[in-house]
Amino acid sequence: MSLVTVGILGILALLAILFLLRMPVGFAMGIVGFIGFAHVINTKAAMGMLGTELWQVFSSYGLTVIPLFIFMGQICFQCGVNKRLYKAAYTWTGQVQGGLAMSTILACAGFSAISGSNTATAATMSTVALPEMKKYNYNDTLSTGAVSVGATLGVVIPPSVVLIIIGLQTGQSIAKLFWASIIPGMLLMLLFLLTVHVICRRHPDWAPAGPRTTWGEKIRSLPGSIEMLVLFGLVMGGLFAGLFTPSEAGAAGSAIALFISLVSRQLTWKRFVLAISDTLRTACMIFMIVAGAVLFGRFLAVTRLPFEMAGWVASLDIPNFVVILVICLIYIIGGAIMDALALLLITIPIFFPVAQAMGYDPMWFAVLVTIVTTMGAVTPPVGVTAFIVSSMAPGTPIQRIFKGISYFMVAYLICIGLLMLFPQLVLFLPAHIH
Amino acid sequence: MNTPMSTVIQLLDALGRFLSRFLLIAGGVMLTAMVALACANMFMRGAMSAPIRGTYELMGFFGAIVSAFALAATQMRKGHIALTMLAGKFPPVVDRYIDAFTNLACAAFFSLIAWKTCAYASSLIEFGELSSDLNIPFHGFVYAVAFGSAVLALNLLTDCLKALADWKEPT
Amino acid sequence: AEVSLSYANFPPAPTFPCIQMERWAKEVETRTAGKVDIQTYPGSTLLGAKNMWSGVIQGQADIGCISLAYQPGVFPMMSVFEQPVGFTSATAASVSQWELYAKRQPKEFARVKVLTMFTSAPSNIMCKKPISSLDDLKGLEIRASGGASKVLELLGATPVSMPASEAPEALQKGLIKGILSSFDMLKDFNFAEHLKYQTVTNFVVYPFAVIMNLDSYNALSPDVKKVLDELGAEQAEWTGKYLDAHVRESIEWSKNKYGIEVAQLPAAEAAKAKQKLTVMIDGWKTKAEAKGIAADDVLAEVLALKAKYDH
Ligand code: NA
Ligand code: NA
Repeated sequence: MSLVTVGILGILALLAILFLLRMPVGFAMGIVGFIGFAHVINTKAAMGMLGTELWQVFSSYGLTVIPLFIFMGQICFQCGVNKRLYKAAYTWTGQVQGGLAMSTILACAGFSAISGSNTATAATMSTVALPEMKKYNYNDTLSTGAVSVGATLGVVIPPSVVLIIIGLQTGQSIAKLFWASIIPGMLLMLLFLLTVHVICRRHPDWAPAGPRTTWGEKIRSLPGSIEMLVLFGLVMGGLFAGLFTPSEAGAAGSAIALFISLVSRQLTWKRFVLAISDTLRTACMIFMIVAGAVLFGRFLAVTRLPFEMAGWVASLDIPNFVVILVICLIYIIGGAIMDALALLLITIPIFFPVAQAMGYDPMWFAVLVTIVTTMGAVTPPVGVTAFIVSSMAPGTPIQRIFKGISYFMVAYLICIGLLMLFPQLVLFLPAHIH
Repeated sequence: MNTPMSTVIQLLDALGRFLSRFLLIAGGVMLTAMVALACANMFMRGAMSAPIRGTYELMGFFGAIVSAFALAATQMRKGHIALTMLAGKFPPVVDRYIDAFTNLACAAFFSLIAWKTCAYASSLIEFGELSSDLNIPFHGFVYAVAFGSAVLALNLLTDCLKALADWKEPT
Repeated sequence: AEVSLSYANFPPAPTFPCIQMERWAKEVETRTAGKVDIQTYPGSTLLGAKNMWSGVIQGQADIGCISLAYQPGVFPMMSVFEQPVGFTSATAASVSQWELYAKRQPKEFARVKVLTMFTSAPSNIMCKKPISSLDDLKGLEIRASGGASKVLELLGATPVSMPASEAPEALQKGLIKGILSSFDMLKDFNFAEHLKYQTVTNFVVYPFAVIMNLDSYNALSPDVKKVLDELGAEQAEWTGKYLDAHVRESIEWSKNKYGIEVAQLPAAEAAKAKQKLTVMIDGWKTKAEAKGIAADDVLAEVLALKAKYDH
């Protein structure tokens, strides 16, 4: 049996374990990765891997951004900041069909401008937005779907962990990559908003239009959003002004949130403890998935499946755009079954030279790949962002979330298609700003 | 309800709950410490131009404790995401055995992780390995991650026994 | 092939530790006439930087490339190459490192078979502003890791340790004003875009070692072992030469593309820096002696090797 066959069997085994045995995703990836690695290399080596990888993932500085941003959102959540914010949003946009889902997407986009990862965006925005949409009787297919796809803007709209990693791996200017992803990010956001509108036309009962509100009510609701705006403003401002790194932004945000809620007498000991314990559980769940993806990625790497796949694509005697389409397809399939970051880390060194050799602009390829793999974060069976939203929506089965997300797939595909047809959407800003 | 099996389950359950809760509290203290350390570092850098050396490294170590100590408590609330779309599609007995098997496999897996992580921590002592920035011994943090995994393994084992014995939470 | 060996490496494929890995793999495959097949795993796909050492010992990979600085305390003798002795080229440092190792066979490597050793190019200051004296460094936030951050601390600068992945963003935002590292990063990480002023200081190099699992090595046939053994010194020199050429190319590229300026740190200032950095070498001596190493002897030998190869 060839190693590549072993890799494919490993993927099939993972799917079977996930669906039939209902094993937690992080655990399942870890176990299949461990057994597969033991089969390909040897048991001793696989045991050694178990002893170090969990520690390496858990102790990585880059990942500390996750609990810190979640903590910020949890403090806001426990102290009701989000309720007041959403009340304001509902007062302003509630009479429009799907108004809250739209403001969720807008808020996700805003939060994405300060968060580099879609996991942090998903965790914070779902704690803020889901309970409110539930309260206003939104169908949970729409509400969880909107938060999930909205959160993926986290790695498309700069700053973005994925773009930073691609930039470092391919020696491109990260500043330019950030500029390059602004228009595609906005485009994707607009397409999501449009999708909400279309969904609401088809299912008017999913997002009930609220009662009309007077201008007086609208103005009076505004102070409810001030705390959050101040917080976001300080965190975003500090991050862009260069006062701190993303992890520090999370810590500063948590500290400021604690301060604001103490001063406004919203914070009780009980709420503080709840915020902490919920943060720990959510962060732990995410870390475990990352650790599982790393173990599974180690296994795939030794089967050389990703390398063989890339080599095969590069060897095809077909037109360039077909190769790009095939690469996208591989990323879509790969994104469906594994963590986007792990996938990119393994494949970028191989696909990137292929794209460059065919004369495609490296910046354009980087942004395209970012959006395609990001889509993988919300596609079943392994949709990390969807899982996080699911952990925040205990009453909603994961398959309903995936169903909600499926409505937005058209938006993704249109966006990817537009970027392929009009590379200027990516290249315009960096060319004119630098 | 006083079969030997249910007594064992009750004991393991109580022990698991106690340890999970204890670790969750310790993890919470660590999370607060992370916020405090990061803020102190920003302040020292901004106001005094003297950042606290080793902040990045310590943040990573604290973060490791935060997530490792929450492993067990997260499992107690079924917080580790699983794909449940086929749940309830099989006869209840089959579902129960699937549960038992899955929990047993995971318990074995995390026992292995705990054991090998312990061995890794011991090897750090053996080689005299220090952290790369502060040059301090850091095997204590690695042992802590091993302990967090061990408590998770204990809880998973308890869940396996519960599924086998068709044990219902006392109300 | 009769034997298949896995070779793990931690940095991305285009970087020099991986380029020397591919060269070595090809040489071994040729010289053993296809008896040995080397599977390379760049970019931490098989083992990461921090678990390379234990991973190779446990057999997770047959061969691995380690950066000695990632395991402080583990290599009391060979960490002499992390000290600021002032090597000016990667070739001289790499050849010296291998020669010292081959002669002394330090017991810190007893658990593995060492296949070759090499160092990074010397680290120099890449900065947003020109540095013509040690005073210019006072309080300046500069990204560095390991030995280089100690150098900065002793010279009065503010070392900032952060993952390399965060450096470009931190530079852009002014969190750091410069980087203390080798000049190949100007091109490889595109640092030339933000950092126009380069000062040649030759403070430290980073030593690497390519290690092999003992059981895997012992299982090889005598003729294959012979090929690997003979390749050790040659590979050290090849890597040093490749790296020095790569640094020259990186500087040319950065000059053409971003108009960077390269200057020497004035001799008087360099002497002052050397004086201040003796503390570091003394610190190494104390630690090495505590582990039973004749530190003065070793240091004298390193300096002799430097005099022999570095001109
Ligand atoms: Na973002
Ligand atoms: Na997916």
